[in-house]
Amino acid sequence: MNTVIFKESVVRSLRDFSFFILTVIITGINLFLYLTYHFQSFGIDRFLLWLTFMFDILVVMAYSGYLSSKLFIREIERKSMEILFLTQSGKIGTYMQKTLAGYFLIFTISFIAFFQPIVTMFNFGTVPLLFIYWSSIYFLISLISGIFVFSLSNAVGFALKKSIYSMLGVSFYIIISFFTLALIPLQWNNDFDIMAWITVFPFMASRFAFLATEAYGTVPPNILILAVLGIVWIVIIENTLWEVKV
Amino acid sequence: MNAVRVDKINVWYGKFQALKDVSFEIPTGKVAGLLGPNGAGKTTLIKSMLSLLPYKGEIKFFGRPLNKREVGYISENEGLYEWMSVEEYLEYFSRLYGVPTKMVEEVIDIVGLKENRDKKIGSLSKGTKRRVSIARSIIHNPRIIIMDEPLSGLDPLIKKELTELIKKVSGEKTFIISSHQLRDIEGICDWLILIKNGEIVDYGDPESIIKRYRPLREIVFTVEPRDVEKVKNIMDVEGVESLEVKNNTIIVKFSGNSDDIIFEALLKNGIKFNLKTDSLDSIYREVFK
Repeated sequence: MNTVIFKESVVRSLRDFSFFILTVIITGINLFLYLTYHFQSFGIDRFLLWLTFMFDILVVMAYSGYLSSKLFIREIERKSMEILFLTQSGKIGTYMQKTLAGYFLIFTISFIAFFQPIVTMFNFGTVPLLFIYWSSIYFLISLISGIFVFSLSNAVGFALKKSIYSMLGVSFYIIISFFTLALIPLQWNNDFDIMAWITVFPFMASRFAFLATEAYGTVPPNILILAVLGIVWIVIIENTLWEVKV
Repeated sequence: MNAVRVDKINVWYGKFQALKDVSFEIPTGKVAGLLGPNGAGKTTLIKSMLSLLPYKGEIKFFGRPLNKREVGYISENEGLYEWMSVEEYLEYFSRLYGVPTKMVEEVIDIVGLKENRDKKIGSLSKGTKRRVSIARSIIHNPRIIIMDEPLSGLDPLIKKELTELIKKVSGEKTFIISSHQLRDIEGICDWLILIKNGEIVDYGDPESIIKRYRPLREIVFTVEPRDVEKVKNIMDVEGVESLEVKNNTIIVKFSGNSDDIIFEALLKNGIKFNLKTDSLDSIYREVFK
């Protein structure tokens, strides 16, 4: 298979200033949080990890939204996508390579996020079990949510007349809503382990329903897709973050 | 053999029918002008031909369905990668088409981009960007090149340069060049397709189109002042419906194929005349008014 479009998309995106800034932001914010927390308390705990984790997820998701516009929507608006369709890659090949490039980049940035707990562990000295658990969670959740926003932004962009502005508007709205969701449990931060999922789930589900109608009001079938994805996402979070005793 | 055969193409945008039973043929090696006013359906037709839009009907290139290797395409907005240099861009497409990168050298040479090869595309003038588009469209040596309004928005000098370039690269290739301005393409086209409101008005070589439309037209010519009366007397030929004289300009309206008889009568009586409007331009105005 000809992978020219994949390579070009990845190389171009890695060279883009945003990727560098993103890495600096992730590392910078996390270090800032670790250090601030360190000076205000007595070492690492779940709240610090939760907080940094949420910031990282936000950044990865924002990048995923940006990436989708860069790889697809801008190209469509510039009309260069049509020219790519007429090469040997064809329409499906072009979409596939661009999508894979997006996934590859989200994987890369999630991998960078993966190392954040290591920084924490080495700075504060904690048990290896914590490292394995949090690193895996960091990686998985940032990757899944990044891919989720990437796909969602594309879907919204294509649905809403392929306009970059509407696409970014909606995707960022979704990102911000996710962030709000993510911060909700902070009010129970002292009692993470005993927080019953049944308290959180209806609230999250209602938020998803609201988002679905807001973002996909004009495209009824996508409401179902979003709802399913949302439920999967919630279940993953429910079963990995809240239920597992650390 | 026909390079292109379009048979009863219909395209809808929702409930709006953009193309209605469009059919035409283009013989191999012709430079065909797809002519029509804005909104006539030119871009829709081109995109359908390239399978970029869904359509009903049949489109064949050299008797077969579209083969991407055989077609080069220049869209209305070039869709160039402005952050790449000319050479990088052409190399990228040579790899996409699976042709040897030595073709880049060849194409840069043909299109006259030697001086700009290392420059970023974003920094180039509009005319030079069109050259880059032409270079990209021929890099895989296609048999047909389709250009959507390649000359629009350019100043006359650049238009002339690009027209020369198209003539230069045409060779054995078949070209389809869309335009809403007859003036832009009449010098290079030896085949015309006239489209209006999503329907084909006429197609064929320019001479036969002129012939077909003559019954609807008029001949305007000037003569020496002393010959005006003489012309009035000899214009009593079959088909001439009216004769109007303004100073030494004579407007003859006629039906049928009387133009040959009129010219013959003028020449037989030794009347020198300058034909003022007997070009595609008047047909264009007639068809698209």
